[in-house]
Amino acid sequence: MKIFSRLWELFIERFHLKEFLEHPVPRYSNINPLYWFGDVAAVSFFLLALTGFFLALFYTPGVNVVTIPAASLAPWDLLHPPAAEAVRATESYISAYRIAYLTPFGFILRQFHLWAAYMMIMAVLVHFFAKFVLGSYKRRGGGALWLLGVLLGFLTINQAVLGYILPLHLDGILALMIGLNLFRYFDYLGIPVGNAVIALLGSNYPTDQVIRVIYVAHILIVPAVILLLLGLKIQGILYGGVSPPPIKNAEVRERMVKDVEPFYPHRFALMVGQVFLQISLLMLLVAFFPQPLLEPWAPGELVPAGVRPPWPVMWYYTYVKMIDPFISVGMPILMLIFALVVPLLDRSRGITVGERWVWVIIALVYMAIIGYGSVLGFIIDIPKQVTPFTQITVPPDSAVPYVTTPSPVG
Amino acid sequence: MEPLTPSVLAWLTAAIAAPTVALVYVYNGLDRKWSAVVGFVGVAALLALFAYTANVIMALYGAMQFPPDMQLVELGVAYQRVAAGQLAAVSLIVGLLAVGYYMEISRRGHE
Repeated sequence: MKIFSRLWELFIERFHLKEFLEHPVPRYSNINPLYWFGDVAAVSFFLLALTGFFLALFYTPGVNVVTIPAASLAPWDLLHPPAAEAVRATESYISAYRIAYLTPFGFILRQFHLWAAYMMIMAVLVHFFAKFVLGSYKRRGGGALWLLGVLLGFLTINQAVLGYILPLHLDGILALMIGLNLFRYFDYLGIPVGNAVIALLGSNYPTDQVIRVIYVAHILIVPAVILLLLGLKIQGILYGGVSPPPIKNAEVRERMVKDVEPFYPHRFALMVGQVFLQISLLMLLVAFFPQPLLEPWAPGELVPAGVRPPWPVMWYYTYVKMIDPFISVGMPILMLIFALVVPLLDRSRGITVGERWVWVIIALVYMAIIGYGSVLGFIIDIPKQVTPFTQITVPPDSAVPYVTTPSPVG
Repeated sequence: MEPLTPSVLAWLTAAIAAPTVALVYVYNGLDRKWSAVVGFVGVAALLALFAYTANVIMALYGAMQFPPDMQLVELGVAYQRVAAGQLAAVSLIVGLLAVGYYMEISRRGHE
């Protein structure tokens, strides 16, 4: 045992980890649940990276059509019983199918990845709301952390949608078509983003190249940016500390800030516990609530009624159908801009939730917009208004990729 | 010899996991040493059960081909759901032990 503790001491000394391991963490942030969700989101990200690494070994992006017997589709994946004996699917779908149903532990791997993504988004939303209510951006250095957090949240939801597209099932292709149509909005505003994106992707139809770009963005580019921003955020928290408790009495507040525990072993033990409890919850969700792989899509096929996008963007889909698209299509951008400028707009001097009631109501309205649209989207089937903004472009059987193709934008 | 069915394995998992989790939770507040002992025994038993389930899964997927027999797929999914439940139980016990350790050192620091 002595040799292990000596080795540990040597490790700490040689890698200059003493300062990091002993940095003080306020006790209130260890025991108050409002301070946990950032960690939950960060741990989910690393669990996603780990499972994503193995999924990437088996996944093949591509829209080449493969015909499979309808009987080989799992009944829980079907929205409607198949009309023919054979079903057309893409290479991407078949590789996701192989992972889910033909690879030992592939089912667990895919389900765990999916549930971890949902957990990360949920944790990001709760973390955002908690920091909004607490007014964490008002302390010194808090504004920069808020900015990083909002960008990380935006990237997280984008990452979820990119991942949802990859199996090229009906819901995934719907998400892709909505995403590609979204870029038209900028063109209508006179900002030539749509054409730039199409030039980057090669087409605004789901071609092989588009799927490959989405795949690379999902497994490499977006995670790299998330990792960079997350590193900056962790650095900011390590040296700037966590946000102070929302206590009115300055003396009590000061006492709570000074009541600290060292990161190691205190917070470290708590984090180990959190990681395992999180894995446990995710595995329970895999065991009790497995999610279907959904129906395959093939180029040239329409997305039938009843297909819905994933829940993280369901609210957006609902509002695009409900409200005049000229207003609703740009909602995510307006909400992102508003979230970014909150620290500039919030000039209130209050510390407690009671003193900050105006901003607590604004935070509640902000979250209610997302929550209301999400719930409504699942319980009511709102007919889609077909307008230049919302029409879902049906790709032709064989889309000719790249810039020589006449642009269907607008 | 026929392997144990997924439902039998699921009940065996629950029979080991439920009392272990309850005992670890109770002992966390009384005596952490016993909490660790009970947790370790429970985790060892669950990992042995997981090893058995993993063996069945590997054998079952050795016979898979494309397009597959849906009955085999359903059986494979059922075994994997049980395996996920076993890993969930193991993680829950380890997580409870770690949080119990934090609670103790945090309390000791404030006495």
